[in-house]
Amino acid sequence: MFSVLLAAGQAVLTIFAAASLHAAFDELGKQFSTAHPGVHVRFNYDGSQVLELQLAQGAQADVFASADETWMDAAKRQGLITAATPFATNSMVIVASHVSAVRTAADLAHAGVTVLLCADAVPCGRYARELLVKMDAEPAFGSGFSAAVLRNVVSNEQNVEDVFAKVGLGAADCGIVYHSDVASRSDTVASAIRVIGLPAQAQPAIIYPIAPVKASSSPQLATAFVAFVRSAPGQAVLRRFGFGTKP
Amino acid sequence: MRSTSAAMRDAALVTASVILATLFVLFIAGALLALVLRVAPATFAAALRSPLVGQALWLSLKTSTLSALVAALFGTPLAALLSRPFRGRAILETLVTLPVVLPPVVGGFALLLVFGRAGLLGRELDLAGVHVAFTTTAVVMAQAFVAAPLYVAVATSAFARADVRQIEAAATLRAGTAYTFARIILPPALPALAAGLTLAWARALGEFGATITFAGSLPGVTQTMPIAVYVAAQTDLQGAITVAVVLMMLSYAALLIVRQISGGPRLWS
Amino acid sequence: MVLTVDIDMLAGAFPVSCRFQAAGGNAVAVVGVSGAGKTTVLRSIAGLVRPMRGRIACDDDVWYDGQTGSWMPPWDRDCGFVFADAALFGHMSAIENVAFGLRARGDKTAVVIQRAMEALELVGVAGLAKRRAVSLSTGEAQRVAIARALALEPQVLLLDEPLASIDVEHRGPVREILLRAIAQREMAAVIVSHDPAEAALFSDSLLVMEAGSVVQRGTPAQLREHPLTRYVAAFAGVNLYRGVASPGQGGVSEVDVGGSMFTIVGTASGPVALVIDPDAVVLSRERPSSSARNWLVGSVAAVVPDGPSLRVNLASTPSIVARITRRSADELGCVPGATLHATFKASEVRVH
Repeated sequence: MFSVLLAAGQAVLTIFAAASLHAAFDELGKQFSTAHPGVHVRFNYDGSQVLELQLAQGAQADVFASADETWMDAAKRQGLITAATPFATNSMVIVASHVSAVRTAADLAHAGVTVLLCADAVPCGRYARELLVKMDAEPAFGSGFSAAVLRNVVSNEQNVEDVFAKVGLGAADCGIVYHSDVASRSDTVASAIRVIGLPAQAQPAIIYPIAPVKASSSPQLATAFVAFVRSAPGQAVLRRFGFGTKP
Repeated sequence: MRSTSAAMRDAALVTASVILATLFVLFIAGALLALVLRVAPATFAAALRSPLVGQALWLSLKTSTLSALVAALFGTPLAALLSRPFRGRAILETLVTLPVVLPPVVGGFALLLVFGRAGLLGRELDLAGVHVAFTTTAVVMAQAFVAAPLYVAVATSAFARADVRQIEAAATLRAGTAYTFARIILPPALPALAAGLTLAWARALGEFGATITFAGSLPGVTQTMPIAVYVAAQTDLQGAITVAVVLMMLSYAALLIVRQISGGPRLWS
Repeated sequence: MVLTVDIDMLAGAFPVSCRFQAAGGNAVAVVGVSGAGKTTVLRSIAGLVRPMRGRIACDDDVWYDGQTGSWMPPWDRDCGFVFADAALFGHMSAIENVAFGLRARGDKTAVVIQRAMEALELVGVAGLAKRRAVSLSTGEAQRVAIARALALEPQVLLLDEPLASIDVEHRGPVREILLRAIAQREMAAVIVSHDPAEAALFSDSLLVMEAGSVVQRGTPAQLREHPLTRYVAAFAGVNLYRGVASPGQGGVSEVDVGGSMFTIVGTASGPVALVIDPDAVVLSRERPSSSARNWLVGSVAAVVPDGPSLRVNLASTPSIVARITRRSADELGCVPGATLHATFKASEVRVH
């Protein structure tokens, strides 16, 4: 129906992108449209696991950008994409609401603290749990750290944006989100939350792959978009929004 | 004797109605059948025994029944009030029915804004040590928020249908407002109330958006069956379908039982 | 005990105004065509509607006072109401209906059951006690409604066309029961009726309402002799007789009305009320030999104009009213004092 509304000669590019890419990809989409007049870019942001499921069930898309390689591999196994390439990295931080008493990473394990994580199937959730396990090995936190934090988890959200929103509302004390989530927010939102860093050695390897979808109706445009994301201007945008460059 | 064209017109309308009705039934039955056909009996039995399914099942039954009770407790007096004319009734009625048209997720966020840790009331509750969001209580609240208005609407119309003559007669027989309501207006309305409550219960059972937003998703605590199906679908579609069929059969059986209780049409009549 | 009623109010579009008093042990009949405002008056006494101004009091209990603004809700008023359409509680049995007011008042259960059964027995429907109200016939329902109102032994009894839906053979007995209860319990009764005979059988004190106001009040005889409006004339000019019937032969019965014998069609025995339409009475200068079985003779007491016709009150034994054309009246020489014969057929006599 959407294509009916567009005049003949206009192309629509549909990008399925992980929720954490929301702000960055909105900007990339704008720049791409400017560079390619007559091309309208629209996005579907959600947890990577949901996007993969939708694609597997026949949803129409041209490009798939996942927050981890697990779901991109799943897409590959389903024959939805041919080849993927990494385009960005990320790291994890803790966000705590200003009304909470959480000030350091160690506070996450304290009794009575409410923690939000993404569900295990969501890349953000998996990464967070990897990170917590790694922190068990850190002498500053101790081997019981991850278990204590997991006990404090009150909900497994379906995508990282929900975690961020609820912590921002003060509904929960804190959550583990991406560095890019914090870097791209405006000051007004930032003032409602406290950002707490995490030890570098505990950070999991977070790699974002991107691929053109095999069933795309505009394969050239899809490839062009992927190329743009991996190009220097595209990378500059990603860096601006808190992502690390492609590995 | 009708003219031929009148008879033909009549037959055409009846046929059209039957076709439309059949298509609709096939639409619904077909979708449900597709679910059932994907489930192998062995996987089905295994799924029933799975602790995650058991947890979600028990949680769903518990919370939706509680929500229905909340709807009955708070909704019945409200419906009694709304069934009599008074200034501003239209506004109140519209307000109370709003959750029905509000997107459930929006309702969930609204509840967070009030009852969340930093919410309007949540702040005070938090100081008193009462935590609402992300608890089973929150599940009941979210379900009640979307389902109770359905009950209120049905109950209001049931009470409004009360015989004015009988109400007047009761007044001349020493019965005050509450006594008249309890003895004269309520008893004939009970079948309609039961139907309304069933509707609310079914809506609560299937509630997803407001629950996952306000109460979150944690197995055993807040992961009701609809949420469990959604989460499971992401990693194990087959398993999710099995759980969905369990939910479907459960709802259907419960609806049949309630229909029998409330004195609706018998199964095979 | 005196019931004082003085009200002004609006019933829909038109104003209703009524003033009267009713003493305990007596009945007042408020009569008129439907829509005249009589039921509105009754409902305001009960407290189901609120007047615009006035006063309603039962001795010292002020039920409504427009000046002080005091208003007693219906459930606090010591008054019983019999609705024209019974208004029983369908989902309850007959005895539960009768017991309702007693329970609502707070009487103890044992007393409630006893009083309810007594009320049902009084009206002669004890056998219907366990029957569901919806399953009763209209006549049965109305009798249960009467029992329901009487059970509370109120000081004031309000009746809206109480006998209209009761089958003819039960009407007399139920009327007697009501009249006896009103007298024995010293209730002030207000009965609303559009039937002149019914009203006269209940009460000697009639209030005629037309278009919302009382146009005339008095005894049936007063209304008949000096009607102020056409409606009053028509209403009061009904021939109503009380007598004792004994069945005769050939499908007729003889009724002793104050010494004179009337022949009526059908079998009747015991006390009966008879009604004869003035239009059915034939006047003549001499006694005719005709098929009419009933004959009275007397002198003309009054001649009342009634549009193109005249109502002739004949001082016979008992007195009778005939309605004839002016022309016939002229030809008969129908003037007060003239002796005329009145005849009417047995089939024209209605048993009320």
